[in-house]
Amino acid sequence: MDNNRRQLLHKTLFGSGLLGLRALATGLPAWMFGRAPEAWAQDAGAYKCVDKTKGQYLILATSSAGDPMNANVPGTYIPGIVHSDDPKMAATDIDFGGQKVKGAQLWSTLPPWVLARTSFFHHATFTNNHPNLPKVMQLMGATYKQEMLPSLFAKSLQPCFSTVQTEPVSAGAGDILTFEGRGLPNVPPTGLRDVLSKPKGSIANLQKLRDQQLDAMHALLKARGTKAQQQYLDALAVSRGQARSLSDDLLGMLAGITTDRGEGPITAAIALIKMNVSPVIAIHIDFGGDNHFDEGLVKEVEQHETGIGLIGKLMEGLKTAGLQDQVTFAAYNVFGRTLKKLGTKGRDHWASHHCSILSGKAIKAGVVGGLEPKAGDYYATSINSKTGASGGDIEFGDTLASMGKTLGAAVGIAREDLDKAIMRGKVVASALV
Amino acid sequence: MSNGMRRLAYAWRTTGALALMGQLACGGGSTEAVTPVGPAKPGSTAPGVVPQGMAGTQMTPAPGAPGTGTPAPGMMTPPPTAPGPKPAVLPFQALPIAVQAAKLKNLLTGLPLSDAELMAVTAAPTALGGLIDQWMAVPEFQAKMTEFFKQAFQQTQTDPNDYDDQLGFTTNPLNNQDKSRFLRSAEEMFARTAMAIVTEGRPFNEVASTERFMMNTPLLAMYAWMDSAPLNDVAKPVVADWWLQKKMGAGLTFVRDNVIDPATGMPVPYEESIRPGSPFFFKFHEPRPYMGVNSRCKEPQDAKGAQSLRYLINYIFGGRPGCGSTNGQFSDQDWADWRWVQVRKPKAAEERTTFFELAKLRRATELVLATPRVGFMTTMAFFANWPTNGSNAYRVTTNQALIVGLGKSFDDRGLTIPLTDSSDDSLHIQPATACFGCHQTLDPMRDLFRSSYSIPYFEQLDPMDKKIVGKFSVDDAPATMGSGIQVFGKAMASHPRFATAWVQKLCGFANSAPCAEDDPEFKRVADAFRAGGYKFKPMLKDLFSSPLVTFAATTKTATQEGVIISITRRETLCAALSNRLGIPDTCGLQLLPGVPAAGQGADAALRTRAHNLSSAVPGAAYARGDEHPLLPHDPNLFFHAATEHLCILMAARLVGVTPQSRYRVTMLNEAVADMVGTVMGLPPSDPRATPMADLLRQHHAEALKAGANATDALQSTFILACESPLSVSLGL
Repeated sequence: MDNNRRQLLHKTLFGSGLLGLRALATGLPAWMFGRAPEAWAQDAGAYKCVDKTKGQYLILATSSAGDPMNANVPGTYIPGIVHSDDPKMAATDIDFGGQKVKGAQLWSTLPPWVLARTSFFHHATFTNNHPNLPKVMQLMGATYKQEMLPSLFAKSLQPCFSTVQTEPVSAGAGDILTFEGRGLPNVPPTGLRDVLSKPKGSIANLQKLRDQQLDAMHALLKARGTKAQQQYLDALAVSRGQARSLSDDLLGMLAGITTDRGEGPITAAIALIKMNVSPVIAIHIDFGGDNHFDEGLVKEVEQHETGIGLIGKLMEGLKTAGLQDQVTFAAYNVFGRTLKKLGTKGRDHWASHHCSILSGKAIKAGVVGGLEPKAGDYYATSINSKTGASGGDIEFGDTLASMGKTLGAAVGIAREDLDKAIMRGKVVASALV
Repeated sequence: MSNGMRRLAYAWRTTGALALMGQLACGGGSTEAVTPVGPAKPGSTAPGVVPQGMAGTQMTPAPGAPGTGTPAPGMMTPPPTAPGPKPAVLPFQALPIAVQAAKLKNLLTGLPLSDAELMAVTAAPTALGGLIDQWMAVPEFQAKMTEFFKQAFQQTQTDPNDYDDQLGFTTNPLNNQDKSRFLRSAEEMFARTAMAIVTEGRPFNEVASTERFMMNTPLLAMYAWMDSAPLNDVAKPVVADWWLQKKMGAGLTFVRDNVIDPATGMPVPYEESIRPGSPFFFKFHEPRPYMGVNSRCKEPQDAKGAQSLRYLINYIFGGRPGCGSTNGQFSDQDWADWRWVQVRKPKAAEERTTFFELAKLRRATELVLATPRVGFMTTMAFFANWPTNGSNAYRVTTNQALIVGLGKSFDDRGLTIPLTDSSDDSLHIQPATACFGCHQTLDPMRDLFRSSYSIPYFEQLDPMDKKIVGKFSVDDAPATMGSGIQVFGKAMASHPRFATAWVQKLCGFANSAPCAEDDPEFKRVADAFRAGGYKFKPMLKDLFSSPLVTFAATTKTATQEGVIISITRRETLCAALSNRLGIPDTCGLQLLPGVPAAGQGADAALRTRAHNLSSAVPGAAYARGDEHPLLPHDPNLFFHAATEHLCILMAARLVGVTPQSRYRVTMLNEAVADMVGTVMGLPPSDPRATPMADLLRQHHAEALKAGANATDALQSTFILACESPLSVSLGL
């Protein structure tokens, strides 16, 4: 992990001894070169890294398809809930450090060290509508100024890691993320591979000379520009500086990406974190998709197998990179799916139960919350914020925000900042180490 | 509402996150500013524009103004911008006229401003209007607008498998060339239709009700195929209603073999194989015999009954179900023979169009179908984007059609009332639930689709469903009742919000951000569009010469959103590079993801790389339920890296030593002049042109001094011009 990419940027593109000269040449204000990296993020969100030792990068898997990720997790093997007859979905004891909970056999195939730091957090998302993933990312209105959870976290975590950019990166998760109201582009993994590779040969050798003239162009345009044009040119210059600060040796990791699905996003996410591009990377992992017509839940089984396998590969990949204690993985989608057999071939949208998967160094293995029969299907229950058990002081309507808050605490965000940023819910203490 | 919900609602209200919460579920009004308005003068402040220094002055609201009034029950009116905190807006400063003109020409044509044009607008800003007319007359305008229409009518973002449900067979076996061409044709069909409506000067609102479409021969065949092989709501073939099957008899057998005419010793031509009475009837020559190991696929292969027709449509498009690909029956000319085609129902005792009579189809200007095709919302591409299912039951189709036609959405994207009651179809439409309001209006409207189409979008054959009476009701406009998709199309075309929606789409296209719909200047343009009979080009001219787009003067929109200087999004960047440098499809945007490059042209490998690179350049995109497309306009590291790589890729194609090279290493001055004028878009009279040329020459000299050879030095000079802020931005 190179936590000094931002410093590298300062040393190379905007060498620290030449701040005034650089500012003059580029037209960028001198403060942009001279101040501490932490200040960059403070502009964006007024957050600070309280404790660098607790800060975690976040890889977030998410989908607007509303995959049936909630349907076979530990805690769902109770009478009335339908599962596939496939042995891979057979009720299996999953041991969470003494607490045994029945879940699909496939979940027990996660590497033991991963299961030992994985929590299955039952909650609702309060929507049954595919396009509402951005709103679920805003915890259905519970975040301050409707900022998305990944962006809130990214603003807080950027100062901890001095990442190249503050904004989260959607590496194939879709055009779903906003940051302070601005839409963030989605870059598929194969696009990342090609885009972030460094030019080679003599053309590459001339890059520094081109940058000098680009600086001069910026200065020329800024001298004649309006304030809006100047502000835009500043942003353009910063984006170039960010691109230049990426490490050559780590870019090789992206070369192995051959697909935008499956392992492509996994490789991309690990590489982007190793390259210290952003503290939050969003990816997509299939868990059965929008499976209304999934007769016999065949696709649900298939994609659970590949999906859980990919989570395992992601975590092993992080371990190989020595990042297993610095990166938290989470998965949550726009909604869960119906749990009872309702007459359709597969499962329908379900606003009232979902299960997020949280896995990381700060996560205590187990199941948080649970389900109860209601209104023809199963609802997420209220939660005891101290024990994580079903029933308690976290009301049903606060379960989504509480999941967000708990995840925030897991990635190292200070409680007081979390309470400002997420205006509902409570941290479930028992879900944390 | 539970206590928890009440407290949650209170929390949102008090944070200001959703002050309109009470209005959002089942109505509530938007307000509309009313200001006496008149035509805007190009390049100047129009009447109705908020004068500088008065921005923020509150105007008198006029609730219920036509087209923008109180939403119908359940109709959502989310804010026109993405949610989330917004950075502070800078005080307004007008953009110089040269910048305005360059931006408009780039948007409309992708081409750079000429010196004469610059001098004309510098001498008289009102000249901008005349220039817009000229720019709308060049071929590049058609290409730019066609791309815009593909997005705006939500006819793109599909892949071949998205069509499988409505075709009734998988497109997997189709050969890559036909598959690629089919997909592009399906995506272009309605964009070409809209462009033809614009070119003919017909009312643009016909896009919602037209039953004439621009089609090529393969599309005629495919639409006729779907009409002859309907599936029911659970995607099962209704063979009893397969009219061709009935006509040709259950014993019909398709044979694929090495079919040689003994009289000529030559393969039997396709037309002979479909001629009734021919000894080779329904025996088709296989030009690429199967070479695999599956014995079932070895010639002769046959298919009987209903399968015979399915095998034939595959054969025509170069597919062998379960047995790989073969050569298709369409020529280059067939794919390029776009013309107006009238879709109509058969008259009494009239036979419908037969999908496999290719010779007839090549001459056809009519398509006789029982399945109605009306407006943008019944094309294959629209349906491929928005498949429905038994639970959704056309709601997504209806909602997306409303988003396209009227800029209105029923879904609760703008609603943050948690749907705690239920998400089960049978439960959540109960009175007093959060969804009830939507369904009260949406469900009668989707019945207009149901009465025409089965769930997989084939002809509706269920006699009960065909009779269902639906109701089109949006905002405060009078409701329209009836049966069939034609009712939907006509009601949408005549709805007062149609004009508002399309001015808004073009605002997004121009500014990468929506305009404020209560901006008096916006209202003026929309009202003029409506009053002028929905003439597209005059509206485009009116809008593009308005300060809403030029930022020549402040408007309510500019006060709220600021003067937006934007990256050139993917479509704009790639069109500009292609049109300015004469390289078709520079970015490989026409390539199909996942289809091997070999099937897509000689330079496909290069274009594949360009395609991957351009994927990191933010483009315009639409999403389910979004009234406004996602229009990223800020640079980031991926944008910079992608544009730099694209420039490097192009440099190698453009710089060389041969006479065919656009930039010859021996002609530095000419090359630099072209790079400044064409790539960076600065005409010689622009005061920035000379210093920019100096910087390019300086770089060239420095590159040589650093040891680069002449070719590399000039390539690097091109890259510099290509990645300069002027080349990758709108509004500098």
